[in-house]
Amino acid sequence: MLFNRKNKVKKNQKADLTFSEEQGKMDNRPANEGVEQVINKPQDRRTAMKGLTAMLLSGAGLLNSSCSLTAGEDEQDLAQLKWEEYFKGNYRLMTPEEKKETVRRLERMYELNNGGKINISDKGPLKDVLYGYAFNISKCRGYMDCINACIKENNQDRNSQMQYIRIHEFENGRMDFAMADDNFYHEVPAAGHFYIGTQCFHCDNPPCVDVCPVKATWKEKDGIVVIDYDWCIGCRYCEAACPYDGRRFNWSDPHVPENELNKDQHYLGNRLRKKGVMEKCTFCIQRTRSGANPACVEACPTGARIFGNLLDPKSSIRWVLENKKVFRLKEDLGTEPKFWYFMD
Amino acid sequence: MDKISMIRNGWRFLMRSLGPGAVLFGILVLGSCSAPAHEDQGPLAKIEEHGKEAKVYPLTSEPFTFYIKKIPVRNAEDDTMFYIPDRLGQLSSFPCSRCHSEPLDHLKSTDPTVKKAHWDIALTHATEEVLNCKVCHSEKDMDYLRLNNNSTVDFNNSHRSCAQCHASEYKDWIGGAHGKQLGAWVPPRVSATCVDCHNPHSPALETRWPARLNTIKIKELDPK
Ligand code: SF4
Ligand code: SF4
Repeated sequence: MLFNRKNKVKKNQKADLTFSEEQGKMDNRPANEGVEQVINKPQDRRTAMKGLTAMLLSGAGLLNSSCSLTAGEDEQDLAQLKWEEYFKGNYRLMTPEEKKETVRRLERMYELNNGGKINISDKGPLKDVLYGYAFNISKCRGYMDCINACIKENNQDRNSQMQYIRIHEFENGRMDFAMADDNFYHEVPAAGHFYIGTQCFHCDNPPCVDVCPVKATWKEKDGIVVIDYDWCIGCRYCEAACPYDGRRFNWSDPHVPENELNKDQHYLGNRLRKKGVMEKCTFCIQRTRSGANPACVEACPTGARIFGNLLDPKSSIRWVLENKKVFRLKEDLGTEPKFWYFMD
Repeated sequence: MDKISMIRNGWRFLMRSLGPGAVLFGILVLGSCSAPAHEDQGPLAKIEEHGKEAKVYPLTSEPFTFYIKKIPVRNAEDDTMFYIPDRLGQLSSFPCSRCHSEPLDHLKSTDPTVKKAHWDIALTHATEEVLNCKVCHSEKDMDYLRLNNNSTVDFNNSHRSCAQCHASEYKDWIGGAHGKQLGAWVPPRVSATCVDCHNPHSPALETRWPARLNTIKIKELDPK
């Protein structure tokens, strides 16, 4: 601000005026010009941001002028977009137009940075839909095809071997997570063992949401618990509050090879994350809100994973809930997960 | 009239005509109605609240299953319908009657140097006492499968043959708990049929190596 103020004063050759005097005089002027226009014009937030960036850039331009005369158009564009992105609000509080704008900015930024086109959706929840998931313990054979599919679909960091799903191996007859083997390395299924997959259960009463100090994570109308990666401050409270080991933290800059990038993305789903933010399973929000099955359901060769609309009496998930003996993990906590386990 | 005076006048009108008691009561009742019901009671309460009426979606599964040639299956229990992938089109040497027009004995060769037609089929399904070829394949017409009452079904309806022994699996499959729903969760439902996953001649799934490891756990346990 100080820098701009100086600039302006110099331009109008009123260096002798104090700040308040100048302010007073402005009202009498017929039309504002130059930087003043930017400051005094009645503005919405977007144009204000644009103006401010222009000023910053002109400042930066002065400093840089010894090396290059004009900043490239793309560079300016990128700086502008970054600036606007930096000052945007919480996704949940955005108007539909603001959502469209941020999505468009992110797409454009990717294009400027990487050269390719991606498609980020801001699709909202479907009416009368509450997603639920059932996992057949007798069917899971520990193949882990689900995890590979999830990593690909959700653009998870390849370097830190981030994975939302974990498959645990248990000895028959005792389901004790402390005794589970999470590092099994043999042909599966091993005789006398069974397998259980865990991931975020999209609790209806999610403790992770309650603890977030900046409301960067919340439950959507269709029951999906989501994170605004641009609002998350990375405090990891939610990770500590989750009783199910559902959340994953980006300790380093996530890396996805360009040729493996899934370009069909959702703002609340598989768009690219950054270092220092939380992420987790989103029931593949980018797929499921268009009607498709999550990637894990699609990839599982045993049919152990069942997904659907809990509010639809004709859905498979409802049939499972009504006809099989289902249970959830740590039901006594009252977290009300929308993820059930059952046996044949 | 500006907004504030409008509100004030409206308020006065309500107070005078109904009396303060009624107005307060009204506010209380309205307030309690607009509070979201069952916010914390979980998904089951929400299901209960939602009732039984069938859902209509603005989407269909078609974009995710268009590549599948679909055969309808009717669920007699509640008169609903779902689809399974076509099987007939996948059979490599169909129609079987091209060779099986004469009795099996004639087709059998005793010459060990001649490659057998079904050399790749080993029957590891139940015991020999329970199953041989003729239990599932119709001897009368080899282009069809056989049911226990000697009637026939075509290969697209092989699940009806399976169902005769595997009744509980069949029930779960019809309901949607067994087998795999293909492509989409929105209707119409398309599910894999028995033979899409189970080789009917050797139906048990084989053991294999996992597609990957839970590597992040290894790192956490053994940081290097
Ligand atoms: S499983 Fe954990 S991360 Fe997922 S909604 Fe429940 S508390 Fe939150
Ligand atoms: S890590 Fe992010 S989402 Fe989790 S509690 Fe902190 S700010 Fe909220």
